[in-house]
Amino acid sequence: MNRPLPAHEHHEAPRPMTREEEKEFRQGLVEMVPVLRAFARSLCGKRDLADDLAQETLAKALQARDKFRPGTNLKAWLFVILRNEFYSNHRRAKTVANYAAAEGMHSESMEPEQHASLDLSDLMRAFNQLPFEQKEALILTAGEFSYDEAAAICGCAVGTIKSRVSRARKRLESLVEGKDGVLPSRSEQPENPTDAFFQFGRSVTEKAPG
Amino acid sequence: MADKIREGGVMTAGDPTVTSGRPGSRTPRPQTHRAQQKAITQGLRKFFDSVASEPVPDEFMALLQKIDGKKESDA
Repeated sequence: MNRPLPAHEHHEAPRPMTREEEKEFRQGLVEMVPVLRAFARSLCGKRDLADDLAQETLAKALQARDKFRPGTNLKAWLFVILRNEFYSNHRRAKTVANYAAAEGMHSESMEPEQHASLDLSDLMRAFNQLPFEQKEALILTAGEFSYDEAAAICGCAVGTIKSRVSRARKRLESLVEGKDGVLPSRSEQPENPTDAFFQFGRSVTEKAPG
Repeated sequence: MADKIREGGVMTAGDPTVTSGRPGSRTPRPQTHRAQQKAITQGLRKFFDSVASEPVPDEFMALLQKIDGKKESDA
């Protein structure tokens, strides 16, 4: 968290890593697997899709390792790759049916638990209703990253992250309080997958996969 | 500091629905609202942590080892 963010534009030409740097990089990848899985699961919902995404991210990261500048924030760098993979996979598939059909947030390990009268499975089903860009803004800022870092990861302005978080929180609040319609059951599909696709398409143009 | 940002006035920037939509119906008492917002953040954090603390499936380690092996033979 206190390491500087890798720059989006590389002014220095990438150079091959030294042996030591490479070793540290690989060790870093191993350590980041749990958070990559968690970020992927937050975006995809489904466990198997999310794990595929996390694995693709690791493979991409290794291929592109010379573009990583040692000493900068590896987690942020990996999250950029993960979300680019996520968005380009979506585009390739030309449908979000797979993801959209995810039955709410799958979490075999999650016990029903109360949080100040907020049921976690209700919350996650509500969360799954949000557009992708709002999901990622919420998840990134829920503890892993600052607003500035989240903005750098998503390639957008800090104000954009703030307003996405704000809208997402309002929406979640209405959903979990039942003010704004009823939460879908776990097996129900989102009302309008096409909307989700356009949301998703917009994010792609905002930050072209690199 | 992050909490201050979340709960401060900047929250409403760029979101017209916050100020103009449905007056009255969406303004719970500030304390309840804050508690709910906090619960949402904690809940999301809890979800994230619950996934991150799952044992890493074997295929991840297999993948990293496979790539390791490939790299060694490249060198």
